[in-house]
Amino acid sequence: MITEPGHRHPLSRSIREMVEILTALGFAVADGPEIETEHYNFDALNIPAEHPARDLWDTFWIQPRSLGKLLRTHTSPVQIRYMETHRPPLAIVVPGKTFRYEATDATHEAQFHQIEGLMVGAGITLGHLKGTLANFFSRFFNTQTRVRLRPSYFPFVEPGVEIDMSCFKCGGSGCSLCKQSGWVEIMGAGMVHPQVLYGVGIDPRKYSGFAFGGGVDRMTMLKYGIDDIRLFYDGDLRLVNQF
Amino acid sequence: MNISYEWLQSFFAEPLPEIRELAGLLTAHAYEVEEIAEESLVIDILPNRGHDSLCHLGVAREIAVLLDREIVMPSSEANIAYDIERMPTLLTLRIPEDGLVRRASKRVIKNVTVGDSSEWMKRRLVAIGQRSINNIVDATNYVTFEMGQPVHAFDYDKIAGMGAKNIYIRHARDNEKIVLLDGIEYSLEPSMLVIADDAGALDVAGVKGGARAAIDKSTKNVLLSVCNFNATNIRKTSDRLKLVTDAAKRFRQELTTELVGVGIERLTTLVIETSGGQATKDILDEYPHKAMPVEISASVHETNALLGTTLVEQDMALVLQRMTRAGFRYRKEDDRFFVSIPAERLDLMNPGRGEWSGGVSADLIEEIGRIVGYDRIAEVAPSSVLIPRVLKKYYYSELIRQTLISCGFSEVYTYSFVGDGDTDAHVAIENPIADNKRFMRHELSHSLEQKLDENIKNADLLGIEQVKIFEIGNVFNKDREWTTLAMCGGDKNGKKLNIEPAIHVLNDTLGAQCEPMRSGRCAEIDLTMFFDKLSEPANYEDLVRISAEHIVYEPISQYPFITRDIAVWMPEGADSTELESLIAENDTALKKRVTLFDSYTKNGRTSYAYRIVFQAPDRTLTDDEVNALMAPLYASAARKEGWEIR
Repeated sequence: MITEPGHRHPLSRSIREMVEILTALGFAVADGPEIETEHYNFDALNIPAEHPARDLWDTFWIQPRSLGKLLRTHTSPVQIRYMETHRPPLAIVVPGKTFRYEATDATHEAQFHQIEGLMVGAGITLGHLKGTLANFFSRFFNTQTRVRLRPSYFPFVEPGVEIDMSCFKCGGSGCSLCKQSGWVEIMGAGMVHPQVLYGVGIDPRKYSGFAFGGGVDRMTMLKYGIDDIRLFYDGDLRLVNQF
Repeated sequence: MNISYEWLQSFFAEPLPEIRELAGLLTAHAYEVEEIAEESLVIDILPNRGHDSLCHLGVAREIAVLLDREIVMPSSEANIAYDIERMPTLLTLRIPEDGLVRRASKRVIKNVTVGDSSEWMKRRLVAIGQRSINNIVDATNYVTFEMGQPVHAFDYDKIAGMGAKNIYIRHARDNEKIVLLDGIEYSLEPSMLVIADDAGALDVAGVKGGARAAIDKSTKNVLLSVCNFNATNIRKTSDRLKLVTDAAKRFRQELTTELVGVGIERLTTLVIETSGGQATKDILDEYPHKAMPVEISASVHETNALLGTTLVEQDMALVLQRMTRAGFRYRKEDDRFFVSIPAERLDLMNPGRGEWSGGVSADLIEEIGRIVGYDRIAEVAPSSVLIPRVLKKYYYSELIRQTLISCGFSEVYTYSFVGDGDTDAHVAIENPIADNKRFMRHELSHSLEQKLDENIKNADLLGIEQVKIFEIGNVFNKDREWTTLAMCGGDKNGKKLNIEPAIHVLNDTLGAQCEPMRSGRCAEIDLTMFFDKLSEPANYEDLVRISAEHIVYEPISQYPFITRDIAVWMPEGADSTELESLIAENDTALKKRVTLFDSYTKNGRTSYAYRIVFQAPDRTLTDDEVNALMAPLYASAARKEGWEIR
């Protein structure tokens, strides 16, 4: 008897596709623990204790609080872990589960997935970031995509930018998905902050790098028109079996 | 942050671009305008710009640079009468020596008349969602929203003492009580700073004013108070008192001490403009450590090397020239531009967290980049393609996924948080978001087993006999975080799935024996340990690529489904598709699934049985409704030659 194949979870499917796109560009897959230290999640990323920038990440702390352990709020700690043991040129893609202390609704979850990219070498510029992401979105959303950078702030990059992609649904002419703007806000990115490089023993005078990080859940929801993030974690085959 | 368009306009001689255009300009080059609400902009000022841009002047400075226009500073030409006593005859001021008060200044204005504010002031405050209270209080709010410096006014006559009254900024006494402007009594701690007189605390410094010396209708003489405090100290006080005021929010972002000087002058002008009175000529100003000017530098080469632009010296000089509109100054030395930073731009200075943490060329290059516009950067494909190493964990996790999927298992994700755990063995969350999310899971089987039952209830809707699911994910205990695989299966009749064949296939594919733990209908495998036994994969080539098939997702209905069966005797050899197409003719959007669930031949006839699942996206279907949908199908099947409905 022939077994009907089962189905892959849509987030697994997205992660696999994203990794395929980026490994083809030379990115190595890297990972790290979901329970992190304050050092890797914050301090080494130029987000000191007591700094208002910490407020950008609502954090789950592990008991007892004095341990300084937390559920990682982003995949960025893996940047630090990887750079501590690898020298440039280097490029990694980090898919993984992340956590934010926030009330759950259709677009917010206390657990979600991120995909992080990091490339460090001599002569890496924001232009490389733009080129890499235009390629990435074009392939993931199956349509020629342009990328727009807007000023933003993440303590571990400088310049820090918000990435908008041209709307994959209307191609930029304006529709309900992009709220008639032609653009979809999709991830945060920037050039690795010199303090971050310096902290892992990479000379910021010789090397530069870009980093980006985005929500896998959000990109998957956009791609397939899934309207509730909670469906991903419900273990519900009514979702999964459609993939 | 709410920014009034009219207020912004007050800093410019020429009309500004219309509000939408202005919003677009700010979003592209400075910070995100989240919303345009009538005549104001809602701007998301991120923490790095909290030092300078949480105010109209700050946003005006950005606009001045972007449009290359001159800022017209608000008028300071009120008829200020300086003919009263000198401050030392009215007040003494002492601050602690621990550096937490970085600057404090005081000035008295006598003979004011408390009343309504000017219309223009009320209009601007209301436009950004502030309530107008009276001319003195409004003037203090106005200064804050104009230049970002929190300021306060006390009723001078309510301060204890005669002659030169004593003002102390000091640490609160343990359990010291103060009633604040909200009428609530707060109990203070010694880490907190207060502004006090000889009778006790008047104000929680940097957070909120007290009730005792509040301005009221009969106030005649006011004491203006403009200070700067250590940001961390204010943050802690505000957190401890659960008092997140506008002033506290500003101070915790850290402000330049230079703002105190301009703030008290501006406040003096506005108070006198709107309420009359005479100010003392002098100001008490405790300023132990003056802010030092800071210079940062970058070359054109460095700028292009980070941004990927092709700027020439002339381009860079033009940008720096525009930046002088916001108080920057620059000079060129050899191939470097040296730029002195206006005091309020603390984001461009070194915060003292390491050599490279700020005040470096990247700070200047970011300014240049965003002002020039990131659209000037060309897309470049990364040139040196590295040959990436293979991550064993990723490779084998993917291999397991594709193997189990080919064995008919579907992948689910469940929550990492669980409600039950043992505080000695398991990882507990300090600040759980809900009672059923107090621990990190230490196994997957328990949740998976629940999901199995939930899915079995939907088996008809899913059109499957057996539900087979798996999850790969991290689990935790106090000493360890590891990755496990759990799998299970079952059917409506409560029959447990035999997982052994699937485990054999896994072992064969991976070339090693895994050691599953059994629990109920589940088997769970410690993959972190298992992967140690496996060889290093050479590449990802033998992983199956994701098919490019276009998937159209259909939203899941939250309403129950109803099933109906139809079984028909047909002449032997008749094809099931005949019945199937008859069902298909019975066209309704409520028909979710049609499954052939039984067929057999007996006495020259073949029986086919189909199950039809009905479900509505927006309501619960009734039996009557579904019966009505089935009736024409039964009728047309009955009319078929040689068919008999069972």
